[in-house]
Amino acid sequence: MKAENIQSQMKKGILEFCILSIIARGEVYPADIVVELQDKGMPIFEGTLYPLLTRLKNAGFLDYRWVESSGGPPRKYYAMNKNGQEFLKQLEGSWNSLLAAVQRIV
Amino acid sequence: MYKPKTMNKINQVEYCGRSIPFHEEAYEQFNRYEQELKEYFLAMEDGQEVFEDLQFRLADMLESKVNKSEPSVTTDHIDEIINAIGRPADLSSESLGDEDFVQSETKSSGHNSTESSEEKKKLYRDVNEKIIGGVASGLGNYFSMDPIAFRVLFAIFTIFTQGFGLIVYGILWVILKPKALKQNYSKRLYRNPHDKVISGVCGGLANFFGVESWIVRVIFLLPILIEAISGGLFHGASFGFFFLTYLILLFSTKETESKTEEMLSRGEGVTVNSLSEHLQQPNYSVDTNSNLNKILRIVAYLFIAFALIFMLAAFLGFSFLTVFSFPFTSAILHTPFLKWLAGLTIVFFLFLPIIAFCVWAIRRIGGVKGPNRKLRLAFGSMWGLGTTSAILLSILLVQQFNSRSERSTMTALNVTGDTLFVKSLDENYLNNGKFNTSSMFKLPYTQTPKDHRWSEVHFDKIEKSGSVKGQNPDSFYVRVEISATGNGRSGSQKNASLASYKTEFNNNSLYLAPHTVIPRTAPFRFQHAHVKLYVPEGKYIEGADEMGECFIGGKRVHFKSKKNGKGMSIRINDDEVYINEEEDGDVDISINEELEDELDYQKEALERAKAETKRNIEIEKQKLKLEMEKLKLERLLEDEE
Repeated sequence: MKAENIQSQMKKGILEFCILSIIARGEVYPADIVVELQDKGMPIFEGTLYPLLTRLKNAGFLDYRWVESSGGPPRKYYAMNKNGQEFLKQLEGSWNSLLAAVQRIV
Repeated sequence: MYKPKTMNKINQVEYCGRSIPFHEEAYEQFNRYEQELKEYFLAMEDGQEVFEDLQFRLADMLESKVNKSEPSVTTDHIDEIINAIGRPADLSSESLGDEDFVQSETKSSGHNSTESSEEKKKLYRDVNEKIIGGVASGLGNYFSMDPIAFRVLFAIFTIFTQGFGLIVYGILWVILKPKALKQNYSKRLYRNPHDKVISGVCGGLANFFGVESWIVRVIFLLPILIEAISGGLFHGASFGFFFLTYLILLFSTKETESKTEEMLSRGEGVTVNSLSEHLQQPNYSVDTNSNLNKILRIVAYLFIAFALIFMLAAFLGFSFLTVFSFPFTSAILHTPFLKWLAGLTIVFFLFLPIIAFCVWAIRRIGGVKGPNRKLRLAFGSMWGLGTTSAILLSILLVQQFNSRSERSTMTALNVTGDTLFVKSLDENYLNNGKFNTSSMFKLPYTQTPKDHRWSEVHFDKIEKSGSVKGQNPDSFYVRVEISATGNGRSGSQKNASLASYKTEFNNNSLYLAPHTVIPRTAPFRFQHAHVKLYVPEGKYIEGADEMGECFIGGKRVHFKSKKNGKGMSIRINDDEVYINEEEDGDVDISINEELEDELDYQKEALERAKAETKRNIEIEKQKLKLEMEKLKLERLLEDEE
């Protein structure tokens, strides 16, 4: 068992929660999510983000639309729908209890 | 000359519909990388979609590299891109154990897949972003435009074609298939909360068209200025048009809520850089305290208030006018209570449903969904009040007319000689110049500060004296009967007694008032007079022209003054009625009537012809005068020269 594996497992579990939280604030372009994560100290590859977004979208938590940009190809913007908001609420609940528990333990 | 391989040529490469200049080496590297990604992602569930999305992202990144520093993509750029997106090896380590999750999740969610490009070309109704039936949204999707444009078009078209737009909409609604469509336009019309005077519509429009917001505001306020300067030249039509447009935009757009939406409202692409730039700006705030803005705000509110008041007042005023300006309304609704009831009926029973419909329509247009219990309760109770007033009013009014009573007086007339002359008492009140005739254009009603005058007087019978018990068969009589309706017998009797009818007799002439007089303090309950004359056998009645017509012995007779020994008198002999056209010889009534009509007609025609000639002569005179003036002026001018 490698530490790396555990680390990436930890990160992975949190990652979707973080992404959903960012999208919950408003419609967003994936590249902006990456920048925000990086700024906040959780760098990821865009190649990791895209499958996650597609999966969340296909699970019915996110909506998207194509936006024509000036001087560039169209961009896919993601926004949260009602399902997503409920889902995020659940995650927030479990995150808060998990965080409290971990802080009590560690 | 030998060129080192590093100084390689630039290839223009088509990628995702964009033309991108690559260094040859960079292109090779990019191709290899893209192939790796493809293999990696296609192994995953939904990998095709992910890979396609990534291709667009790659194109976006490539384009941004070229735009910035260098004219073409270099290998350094490709390295940067790879570092941002990640190699398959990096990705698989980062998303360890991902695959199981991916598969279980996607299988359960069924397919929610995106529509393919060929589907986008078809016209659908959009069920995602609809306000009524999604037709406008579908059109917007089809033309890649903000559906607001189609909404406004539909609304304006409907207003100016008196509803035809609704038919078009309805047809499209029926024909088009519904479908959940995704937005595919880049510019959106939002209301701008940072640049608003009333609601931000003008600010939003300014953003949308990329102009200064004051320009849009001036355009919206222009109609008021024009109307004010021209003194209502266009009768508020243009003003109403702009006001409606504003309202439609107000209710069909929403305010920008995020920075992204703000930028979309200007049609800008949203990038990290542009976003952060905007975030650093102090909200490009408008100084709301500036005087200009204050004035604009006041003018704008006046504009809205004026328009609203105008529209409501027009509706309400019309209904009130028709009821309360009707001459004898106040005489029919004689108590304040009845007037209040009538007012409540108009406002809450007749007018409220219109307001309710407007509110409903505005809420519908505004996308407010679901029933509002408070509103419903408010409207319901108000309408209940209106209905109660309406019912109460009709019951009370019907009561006022449920009984009829008469009172009559009989007066003997001391006539010296053979003939009683009958004339109108007050020629000013004659309707259409005749006694006892009502015309289409003049109500049989006039008012003075003291009383109402109801010119429905039935001078309709002449009988033989002695036909009523107690009458002296050798004396003339006039009988006046005033009838009225009222609430019950006592009410109608009271109403009849309140009205009066004036007759005067002197010098063998009987003067009959052309109207029944009802004092202002009394209610109007159809009080009117019936006048009957009684003639001794062998004596004559002569009616003046203005007395119009009368029924004698069941026949209609036109009165006619006797002039120069010629004219008409009425005599009753042995229960037979004789109408004397001339001194000698009795004329049959029917023939006489025809002749009278013919004569009347000829006379009228003659009068008309005379008047016409007179008018023509006047016009000719005026023309001649003008000619003279002209000549004089010309002469003066010549003299000066």
